[in-house]
This record gives sequence, structure tokens and C-alpha cells, in this order.
Amino acid sequence: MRFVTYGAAIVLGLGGLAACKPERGVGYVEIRAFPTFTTPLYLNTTRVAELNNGSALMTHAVGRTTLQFQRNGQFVPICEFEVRKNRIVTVTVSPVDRIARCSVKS
Amino acid sequence: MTALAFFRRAAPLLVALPLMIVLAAAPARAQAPKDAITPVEDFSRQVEDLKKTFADLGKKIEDSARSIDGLSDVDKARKEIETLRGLVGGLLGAVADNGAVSEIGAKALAHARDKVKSLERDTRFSREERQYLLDEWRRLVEETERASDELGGVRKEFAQLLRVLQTREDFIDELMQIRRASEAVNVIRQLSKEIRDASNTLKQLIGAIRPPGA
Repeated sequence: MRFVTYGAAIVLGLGGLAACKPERGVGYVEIRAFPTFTTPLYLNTTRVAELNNGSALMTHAVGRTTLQFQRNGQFVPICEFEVRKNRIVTVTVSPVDRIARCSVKS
Repeated sequence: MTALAFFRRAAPLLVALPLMIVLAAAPARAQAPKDAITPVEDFSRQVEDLKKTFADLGKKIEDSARSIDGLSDVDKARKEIETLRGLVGGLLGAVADNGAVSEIGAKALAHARDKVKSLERDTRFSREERQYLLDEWRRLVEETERASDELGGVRKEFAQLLRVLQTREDFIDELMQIRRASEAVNVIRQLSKEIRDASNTLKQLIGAIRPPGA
């Protein structure tokens, strides 16, 4: 009986701790690129889905996020922006002097 | 025991063993065509479920628009917009490119396309039989592509609605910072019209979605 009571207390305690954990949530990133852009992109280290008609929409954890691509196994950042809970941010990648640059609209 | 005696005793087992293997494999083989359709069926089920959720959301969007329309309390309106953003955001997540439904759709499509390729090389069937199977799989490929495109349309609309909600909310915030409550209320009223327009577009899109194989 005592064992059951302790067990229930532990379960409730763990449940309580889980409930206290801050829920950070997710936001949405729309990535647009010029039609000939085929380089795989990454949001931090998450690979962005293949662009369809020059755009992709990704769910991403809230917080500071870097859009980057890979060159020789190394991540090369293009730009940084903030992803906010239940909000959408549009990142447009365009070439400037043969270098990918991006503009952010949130 | 001599080798001959051993083989005499083991003979029934040596005959039975391959038979058992064949019998054990038979149900698996019989299920093969059923397994092949599973990814497309999974996608179809997901799309059906989503359609129901979209319809529920449509009602909530309308209720929200009605409620925002009658509000003159800026804080209450902001809360309503925030709730609506949460609802729209949740569904946008489901249809996002890395969302569950899109990923299942991509798998279903890849699977159906592979099936077409493998049937094109298959020599087990007569020409007519092969053509029939190919036609059916090509139809499933087309239907899956169409359902994915339709979900893409819904994705765009949700993204647009979310964008409207957040920019209006930000604008209301800015107006309140310069103590322009009556203008904020006007923005709130305009927003309800924009939400209704989006809701109508979504209704049409949702009505047009046809799950593959349905």
C-alpha cells in the first residue's frame, strides 16, 4: 500500500515538473528563393524542404535562427532572424554579386 | 549411427523444412499488394482527417470574426487575435513542408512513382494485365500529386491569414502606444472583414480537396 502511495507521489511529482517546463512553442518560416537557386538550405541544422515554385514553408522552434547552406561540409550562414511563437517570418534569398543574400520580413 | 541411417531419419524433416518456409512466406506474399497501397491510403486518411479539422477551424474563424467585429475593448480584441493566430498556426504546422501530412504525402508519392517504374520493368504479367496495373498506379500518382497541390494552396492561404493577423495585431499595438484607441478599434473592425474573406477562400479550397483513391 505504502509502495503504491509513494509511486503515485513520484508520478504526480514528475507530472508537475513536466507541467512547469517552459513551453517554447513553434513559429513558421517561409523561404523564398530565385528560381535557379538549387543549393540545399538549412534552418540552423535542419534541412529545408525542397523549394516548390521557389518557396518552402517550415515549422521551426522559436528563437534566434540562422539560414545557411553547406560548403565543403561546413555551414555557411546567409542571415539570422527571430522566429516567434505562432508567427510567420518570410526570408527571401536573392543573389547580390554572385553571393546569396537574404531579406527578412516578419 | 551411419550416415545413411541419419539421412533416412532426417529425410522427412529435410522435405518438411522448405515446405514450412514456403508456407510461412505465403501470407506475406499474399499481403504484398495490400502493403504497396498502404502509404497512399495513409495519406488519403490524413487528408480526410485534415479536411474535418479545417471545417472545424472554419467555424471558429467565423465566430472569431463575429466576435472581433463587436469588440471595442482593444485588449480583448488582441486576445482574440492571439487565439486565432494559435489556431491558424496549428493547422499551418500540419500542412508545412516539414509537417506530418506533407511528409506522408511525399512518401506516398515517391512510393507510387517507384511502383510505376517497377511495373514498367515487370515481365511477370501479360501486356494487358501490366497495362491495367500501370494505369491504376498512374491514376494514384496523379491523384496524390493533385491532393498535395491542393494542400499547397491551403498552406498559402493559412500563411497569408497568419500574416494578416500578425501585422494587424502589431499595428494595433503601435496605435495603442501612441494612445489612438479609436483608430485601433477601426483596424479591429477591418480585420474581421479580412478574416471573413480568408474564411470564404478557405472553404472553397477545402471543398475542392479530394484525397487520393477516394
